[in-house]
Amino acid sequence: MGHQYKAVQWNVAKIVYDLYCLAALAAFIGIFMTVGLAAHPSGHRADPVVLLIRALGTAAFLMLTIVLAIGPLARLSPRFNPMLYNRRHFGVMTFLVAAAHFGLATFWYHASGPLNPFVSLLVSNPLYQSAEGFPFEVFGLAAFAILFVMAATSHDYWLNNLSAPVWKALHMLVYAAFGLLVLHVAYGALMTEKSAIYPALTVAAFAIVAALHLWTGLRERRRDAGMRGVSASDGWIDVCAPADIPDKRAVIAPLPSGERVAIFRDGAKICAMTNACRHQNGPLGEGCIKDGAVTCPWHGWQYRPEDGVSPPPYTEKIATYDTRLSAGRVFVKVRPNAPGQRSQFIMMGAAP
Amino acid sequence: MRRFHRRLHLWMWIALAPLTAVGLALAIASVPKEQTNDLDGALISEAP
Ligand code: FES
Repeated sequence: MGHQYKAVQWNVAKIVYDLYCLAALAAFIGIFMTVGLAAHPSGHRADPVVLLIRALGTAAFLMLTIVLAIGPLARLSPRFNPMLYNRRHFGVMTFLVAAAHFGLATFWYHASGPLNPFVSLLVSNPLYQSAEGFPFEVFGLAAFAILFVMAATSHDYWLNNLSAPVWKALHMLVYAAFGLLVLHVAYGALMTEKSAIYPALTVAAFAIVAALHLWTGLRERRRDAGMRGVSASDGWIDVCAPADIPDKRAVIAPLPSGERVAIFRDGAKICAMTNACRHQNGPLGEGCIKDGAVTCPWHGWQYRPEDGVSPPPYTEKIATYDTRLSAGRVFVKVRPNAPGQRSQFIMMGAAP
Repeated sequence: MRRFHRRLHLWMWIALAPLTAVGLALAIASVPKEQTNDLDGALISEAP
């Protein structure tokens, strides 16, 4: 089933997006090298290979900063959803740039001695007690190892084999990779930089990403805390008034179990389903109804509102919830139906 | 995201952010001061 799902692979929009990204990357490296060569004091020509190593490293760091900012930005505003839709390709591109930086730096600085370059990378600098001369390479190597695992398991094949919850938890290691990269830059490039621009940019990149994630994380926690007040003594919870749900969109409500339910309105019809997309557990309730199907905001997987089944030829299924209208309020049954089971839903204006 | 991932996400950042901030601050505080050396490498002056 999911193995055949092609929604997240290649399509014209993704190819155009990737071409834009590649063009921006080439422009960045070109400008970095040109400025680097021109700005160097006369008489001390910068080595183009060293500049290229730095250009690739800076590009990879900036790209990872952008990749990590996209998630929380999309939680704060749906305007960033198109970036989320293309994030996986951008992430793999980030890994490839980091790999080019890693490969070039390893062979440039460590291939001329008697030791294997990878061994030399790990043992040539033993100054672990010194901040100034700390072997910053180990931070980069650890970050690169994590990025490698992320890139190698980025395909939906792995997502289906590992299951979405395990895959998602594994891919959260990318935050640790970012922390390691910040330290790699701090104990490496910053130690030899005289200009204040590099430290300022590094601090800004770290502060923006950390603040965005902490902000959205704490916001989610506040919402989770609100769930504790949810009571469902008769097995149903009062979620909202029908008019609170914008047409073709959803209201997300907490359940006593701690999970969330998305209540969609499509004209006169009100249906409820789990808020977690079958693909990567994206927030379905932040998506909308397109062509009669609930469409996930992350990568566009679709489900029919009444039974949670993906429209043909796809076969994914998610859990639905029964809904009923009582005293002008929408109630949701807290026990989910089996994935793909047709739910009891509300038709506004229909006889009770 | 499911509740488990929301919690994991927040706790990872609560742990990571201060650790990285301290490491970054230490590194910036340890950046060697600008210095001028003569042709034999001997220190002539150090920036305040
Ligand atoms: S389509 Fe990817 S998480 Fe929903």
